[in-house]
Amino acid sequence: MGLIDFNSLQLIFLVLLNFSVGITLLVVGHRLSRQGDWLSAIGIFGLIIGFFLAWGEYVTVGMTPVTALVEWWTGGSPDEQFYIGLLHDSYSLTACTLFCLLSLVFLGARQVYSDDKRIKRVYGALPISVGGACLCWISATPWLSFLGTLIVILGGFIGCGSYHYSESGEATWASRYLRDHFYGILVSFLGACILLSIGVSLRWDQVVSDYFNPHLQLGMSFFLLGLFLHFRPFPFIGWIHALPTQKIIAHLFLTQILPIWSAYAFIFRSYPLFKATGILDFYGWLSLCLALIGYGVSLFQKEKQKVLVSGFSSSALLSVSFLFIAGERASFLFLVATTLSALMFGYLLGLDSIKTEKPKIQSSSASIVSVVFIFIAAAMSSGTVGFVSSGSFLIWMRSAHVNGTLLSFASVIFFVHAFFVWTLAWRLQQSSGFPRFKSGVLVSMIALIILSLGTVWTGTVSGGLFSDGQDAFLFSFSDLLFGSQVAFEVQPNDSLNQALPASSLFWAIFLLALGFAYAARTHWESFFERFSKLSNFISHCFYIDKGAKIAGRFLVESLYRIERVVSERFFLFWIPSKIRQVIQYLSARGSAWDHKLDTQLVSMAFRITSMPAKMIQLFQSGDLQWYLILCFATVIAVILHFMGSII
Amino acid sequence: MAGYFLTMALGIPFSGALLQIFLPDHKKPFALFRWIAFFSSFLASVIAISCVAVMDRGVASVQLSEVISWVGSYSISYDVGLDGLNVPIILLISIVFPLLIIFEWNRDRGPKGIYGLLLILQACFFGVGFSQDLFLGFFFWTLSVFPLYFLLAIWGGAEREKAAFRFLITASIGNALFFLGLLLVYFSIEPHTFSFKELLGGRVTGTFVLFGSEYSLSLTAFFLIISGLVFRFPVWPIHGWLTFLATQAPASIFVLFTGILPAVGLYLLAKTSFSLFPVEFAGWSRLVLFFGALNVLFGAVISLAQRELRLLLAYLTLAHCGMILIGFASLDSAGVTGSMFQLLVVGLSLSGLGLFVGSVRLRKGHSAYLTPEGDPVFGGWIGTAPLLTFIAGLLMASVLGVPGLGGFVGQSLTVMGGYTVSPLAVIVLMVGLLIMTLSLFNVFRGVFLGSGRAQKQWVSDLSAREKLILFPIVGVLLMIGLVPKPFLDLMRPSVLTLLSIMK
Repeated sequence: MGLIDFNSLQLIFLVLLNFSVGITLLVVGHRLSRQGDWLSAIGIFGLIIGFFLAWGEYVTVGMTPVTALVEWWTGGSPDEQFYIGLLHDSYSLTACTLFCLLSLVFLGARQVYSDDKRIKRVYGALPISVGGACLCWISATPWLSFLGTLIVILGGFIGCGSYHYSESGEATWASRYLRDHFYGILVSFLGACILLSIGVSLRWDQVVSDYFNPHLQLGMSFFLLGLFLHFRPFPFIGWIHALPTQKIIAHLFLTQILPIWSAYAFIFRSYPLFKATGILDFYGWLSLCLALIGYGVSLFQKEKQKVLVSGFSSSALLSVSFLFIAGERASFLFLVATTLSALMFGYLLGLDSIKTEKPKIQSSSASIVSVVFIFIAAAMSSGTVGFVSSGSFLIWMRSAHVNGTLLSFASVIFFVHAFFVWTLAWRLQQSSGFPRFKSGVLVSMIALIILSLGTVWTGTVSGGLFSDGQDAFLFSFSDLLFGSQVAFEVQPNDSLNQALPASSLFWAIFLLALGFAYAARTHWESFFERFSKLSNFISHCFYIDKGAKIAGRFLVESLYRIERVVSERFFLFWIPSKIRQVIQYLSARGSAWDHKLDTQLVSMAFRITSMPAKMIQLFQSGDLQWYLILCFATVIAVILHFMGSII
Repeated sequence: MAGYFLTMALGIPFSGALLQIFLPDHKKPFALFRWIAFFSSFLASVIAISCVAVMDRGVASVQLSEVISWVGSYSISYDVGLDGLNVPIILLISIVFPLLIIFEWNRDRGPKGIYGLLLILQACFFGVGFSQDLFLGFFFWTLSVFPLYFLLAIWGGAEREKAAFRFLITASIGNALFFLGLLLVYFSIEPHTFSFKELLGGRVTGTFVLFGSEYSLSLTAFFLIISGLVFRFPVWPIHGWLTFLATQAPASIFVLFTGILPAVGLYLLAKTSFSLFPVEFAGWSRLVLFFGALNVLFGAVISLAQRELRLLLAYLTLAHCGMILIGFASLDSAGVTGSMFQLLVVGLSLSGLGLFVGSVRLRKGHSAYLTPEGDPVFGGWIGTAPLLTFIAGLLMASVLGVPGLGGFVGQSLTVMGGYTVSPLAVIVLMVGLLIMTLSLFNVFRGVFLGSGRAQKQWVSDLSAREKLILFPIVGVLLMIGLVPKPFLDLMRPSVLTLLSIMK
C-alpha cells in the first residue's frame, strides 16, 4: 500500500457530484432546457479542478504512483479480501483530465446536436458517463472499475436512450448495447473471480512476478475476453446494423469512446499481470486480427457514420495490440490519437447531417475550413508526423522490427489503418456540404487539434521516439498544465539506430496508404454495385448474427422440447398415469381379493358355526334331552379332574 | 420477557392470524384487517431484524437462544436461536412479508383469509429459520404447506385447484421422505435427540439390514432428507409443480413460491447437510454440483423460450437454485458464504421481480410480454413509466450480479468457491448467467423500449403503494451490494465452523 497523503474522498465526492448532476438533469431537465449544458459543464469543471489538485499532489510527491486502499469486504475466509481504493499516476490523471476536457469540448460544439429535442438527456448522461470513466481509471482494484464501467454504460444508455424508445429499431440497438456490455462485465468478472480464487491479488499497485499456472491463464483469458467485448469486436459486430445514424456524435462519445476507455483501463492496469503470465503474444495477435477484420467490415459499410463508429472499435483494438507489442506508452497515446480523430470526424459527420433551411456551403469549392478539418482529422489518427499517433506507430514498428512476421503484419495493419482513415476522409470530403461553422464548433475543433499534437503529449514531433532530444519541442501535456516534468517516461532502449529503419518503412507505407485511398475514393460506389453480394456479406459482418440467431433458436427449441418432455410428458403425464395404472391395478386386485376373502370368510364362518348351530337347534327343538348333556358334561369334568391329578 | 424476542417474532404473526378469525367480516373496506395484518407482520419483522442487528459478529455459536422442553419423552424441544446461517433467510422473510401484505392491501375477496394465511406462513418460515431442533424445523416446514395450498387454491387462477393439488402432492411426498429421514436420525443415535447442537458433526452412524443387504444408516437418512427437501424447491427435473402453478398464482403468492420457499428450502438443506451429514454431503457433493449446473443451464436456456413473465421468473428461480447448489457443493468457505448470501439476494430480487410482474398485471391484466410469434406485446414504457423502468432494471441487474448490487457479492463468492472445486461447473454457471442476461434483456426490450405493438401503450408510473413496496427491496439490494461487510461478517464464522467440522 502506498502513501495516503491526499484526500481520496475528494475525487469520489466529485464523481458522485457529477452523478447527482446527471440524475438531477434527467429528472428535472425539462425545466432546465437552457441551463442543462451549463450545469453539466459546471459538474465536469469541478471534476477537472479535482484532478488538477490531485495532479498537484502527485507532482509534490515526486510523481510516484500514490495508492489509497480500504478493505471493502472479506470473502469466505479472512484472507480473501476485496479492496477498493484509488491509484494516482500519470496515466490515470491524464486519462481523467482528457475525459473532462473532451466533455467540455463536446458541450462547446452545441451546433452539432442543437436541433435534437431530447438533448437534455445527453446533458444528463454526460457527467454520469465521464464520472464513471474517471472512476475506472483512478481505481486501484478492479471492483470500483467494474462499477465505473457500469456507470459509463448506463450513462451511454440514458444519453442515447433519448432516441431509442421511440422506434423499435433503436430499441434493438439500445438493448443490444446494454446486453453486449453486460456480457463484457460478466465475462471479465468471471475472470477476476477465477484469479482471486487462485490467490492472485488484483491490485494494480502490486508488481507481479513471473509465474505460470494454467488456471491463471484461464482467468486472465476470461478477464481479457470480457474486456474485449466492450470493444464490440468481430464476431460481435452485428450491432453496426442497428446503429441509428442520426446524432452520431452523442453515440460515438457516450456509447463508444467512454466505454472503450473504461475497458481499456482494466487492460492497461493488468498489463504487468499479462506480461508476467506470458499470454501477451497470443492476445496481441488476437487483437491485431480482430482489428483487421473490423477494418474490413467498416470499409464495406455504406453509411459514413457506421464506418466511423465501427472503425473506431477497430482502432481501439489496435491500441490494445500496441500495448502487447510496443508497451504502455505507444498504446495509450495511440488510443488518445484515435479518440481525438474520431471525435473530430464525428463533429464533421454531425455537421454534414444537419438539415438547414439556408443553402449549405459546398465543401469542394467554398469551404476550405471543412476540408482542412477533414484532413487534419485524418492526419490525427493515421500517423502523420507531428501528431501523437505517429510516435505510437513508429514505436510499434520498431518493436515489431525484431520479428520478421510481426513486422510484416504490423506493416499490413498500419497500411490498413491509414487506408481506412484516409478513405473516410475522402468519402466525407465528397459529401454534399457543411453549414457555416459556429464559433463553439471552431473552438472545439481547434482544441481537439491541439490535444492531438505530438508535442503536447511527449514534447516531441515523433512521439518521443528519439529520446536524445533530437527533435524535442517545448512542452509535454504535464508541462502544459504544470510546467513540471515529462508525463511519460521515455523507454531506455530508444535509439536512433533502431528507429531510423522503422521510420523509413513507416513513411513508405504511409504514402502507399494515402495513395491507395486517394485512388480508390471514386470506386467504392461502383464496387458496392458490382459486387453487391460480396459487399453485403462483408458489411453484414459475414451474417454471423443471423447464423448465431438460428443456432441459438435451435438450441433453445431443442432444450425446450426436452424440458416439455421431462416436465410435462414425463412428470405430468407419464408418471401420474403409471402411478394411476398401478393404483388402479392394485385397487382392482385388492377388490377382487377382498371379495374372494369375504366369500371364503363367510363360507368358513358358515362351516364353523353350522355344527354348534345345529346342536343349539337340537336343544331348542327338544330333540335332545337336557339331562343327557348334563351327563356328558359331568363325565368330561370327572375325566379332566383325574387327568389333571395324574399329570 | 427480555429473553424471548425470537418467540415474540414467531408468535406475533400467529396472534395476528388468530385475531383475524375473531374479527367481524362484514365491515368494509376491511381497514381493520389490513392494519392488524400489517402491524403483526411489521412488528414481527422489526423484532427479528433487531435481533439480527444486536448479534455479536465473529461468533459462530447460536445466539439469543431459547430452549423449552416440548415433548420431553421424545427429546423434542422448542429450541430457537440465531446463527450465521439463518440470518439471510430471517432478513428475507422480515423484509418481504410486510411488503406482501401491503401489496394485497386492496384485496376485496376474502381479505381476512389471505392476511391470516400470510401471517401464519410468516410465522412458519420464521419457525424454520429460528429452529435449532430438527423436529421443530420439520414441524414448521410441514405446517407451511397448508397455508401455501389454501392461498393458491382459493386466490389462484382458473386452474388453481389443480395447481394447488399438484403442489400439495409433491410437498407431501417431500415431507414424508423428510420425516423418514428424520426418524432414522433420531433412532440411530444414543441418547435419542433432535437437537442440531447434539447432532452436529456427523454423529449419525451405523447400518441397517434390508432384504439381506446392509445399508449405511447415515447415507440413507441423508438421501431421504435431501430428496424430501428437493421436492419442496424447484430442482430439475422435479420442478413441474412450480412452472405449472406460476401461471395460476397471483403476484403475492407467486412471490412466496419463487422468492421465499426456495430460499427457506435451500437453507434447510444447507443446515441439515452441513450439520448432520458432513461426510455424506462431502462424498456426494459432485452429484449436487452436477444437479446445480444442470439447473442453471436448463433454467437459463428454457427461460429464453418463455413468452410469459411469470414462467420466465419461475425458470430463473430454477437457475438460481442451481447456482446456490453449486456454491454449497463447493464446500469452500467463499462458495458456501456466497450461496448463503445469495439466499437473501436472490430471494429479494425475485420477490421484487414477482411484485413487478404483479404491477404489470395490474396495469395490463396479463403478463405475456411476447406474442407466440415472438413480437413484443408491450413496449415503450420507459417514456411513460420511467421509475418503473428504473426499478425493474435494478432488480434485473441484481439478479444478474451487476456491481453495486447484492448479486455481485454473492455471485463473486459463489464463483470463487465453485471454481476451486469444479471449473467446469463455474463455466456452466457463467454461461447460464449470460443466457439469463439475454432473456432479461429481451424482457427489458420487449416491455420498456421500442414503440410498442399496440398504439396505446400508455401506462402509469409507480403508485405510492408500489413505491412503498419496491423501494425497500431495491434499497436493501443496493445497501448489501455496496456495504456487504456487516452481513458477511455475521455469516462467515458459522460457515467456517461448519466447514472446519466437515474437514
